[in-house]
Amino acid sequence: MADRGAWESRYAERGEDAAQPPSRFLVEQLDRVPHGRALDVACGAGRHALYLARRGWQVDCIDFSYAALTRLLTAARNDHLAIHPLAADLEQYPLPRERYALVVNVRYLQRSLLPALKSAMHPGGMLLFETFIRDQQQLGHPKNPAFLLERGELAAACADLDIVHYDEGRFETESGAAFLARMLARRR
Amino acid sequence: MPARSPLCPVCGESFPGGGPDHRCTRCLVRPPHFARARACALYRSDQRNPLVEALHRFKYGRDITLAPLLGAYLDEHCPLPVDHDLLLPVPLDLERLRWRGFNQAAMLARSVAARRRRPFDAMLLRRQRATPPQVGLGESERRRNMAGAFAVRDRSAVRNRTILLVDDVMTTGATVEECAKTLHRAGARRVDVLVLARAADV
Repeated sequence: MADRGAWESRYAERGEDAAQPPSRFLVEQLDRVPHGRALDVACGAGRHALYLARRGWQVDCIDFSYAALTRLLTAARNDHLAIHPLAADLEQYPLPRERYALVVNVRYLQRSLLPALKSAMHPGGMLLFETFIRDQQQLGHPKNPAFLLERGELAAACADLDIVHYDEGRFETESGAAFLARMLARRR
Repeated sequence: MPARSPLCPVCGESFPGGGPDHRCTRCLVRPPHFARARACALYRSDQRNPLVEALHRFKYGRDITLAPLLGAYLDEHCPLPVDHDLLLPVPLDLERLRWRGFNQAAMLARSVAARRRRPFDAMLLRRQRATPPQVGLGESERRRNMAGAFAVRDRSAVRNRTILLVDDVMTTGATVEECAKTLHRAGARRVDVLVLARAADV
């Protein structure tokens, strides 16, 4: 069980902003994804959930921190968007199965969650994954290997999907330089 | 803020300014299937509202310890006499129920029913299909969107009964109207609607 209190106070004090720009990778890849229902895990203040909903997606999103979701709720309510947020611990909460056209996992790593992310997509659905790799330790956080992918690890773990796009390395992202693995993959 | 007169005696819509209660245009043109709909509080979606924040914590934060408190609020600020034969929640579709883990309207309705010692049934009215989001739809599109969404499991439990339908929030009222229509078709004598909070800016 992760430390909920620490995340709640992090959001309450610093507060990732719902107005933060979405992942460039997600923005670039989105028109390759068939339209439908999306799941955003570890959505935080909802930069991707909001980006998708404003483009007509129905979005279910989950984050551990309710404080983060309140920012998303405020933004979503003002825009009258079809977003269904949920405060839940992804290490415990069962995800729906065979439901989503798109599953988004950006800058979050819970290795044990990968099978559930795959089964949450319906056949033909896409998984968009963007997370730090080990090299990121040179640049800053995260430093804990539990939150860092090894090179090639994501591709190997998703060998049962059809990989549409995959790259790893140092990227100039919407929030500065980062070492990332980025993948768009389709469920068979 | 609570809903104040002048308001529409049918749908409960609150009018600005003074004067007596009067039916709103919508209820005149197309009288709804419910007799009266009332909210404990009005909110504006662009303003912070402590009641709505508590409701969000309950619903999206899955803090079900708030259910008795919100139920007590609903009971104590209820602008309708609760003398109904039966209290029913607006049902969730199965997918949404599984997603959230509980039906917030059912928990509120059960709490009010217990406080008022009225019969309550969370299963009698069911949602037989998920409806696409109402976001961005006009009034007639919302009606079409909701048509046939609900069904009554046991008509004999509804026939000739007065029913209080409970939900957490009401925006346009298309959902409760479709529920009331379904209940009337099953023989309900009268359907009233009670919600915790209602959007004042839809």
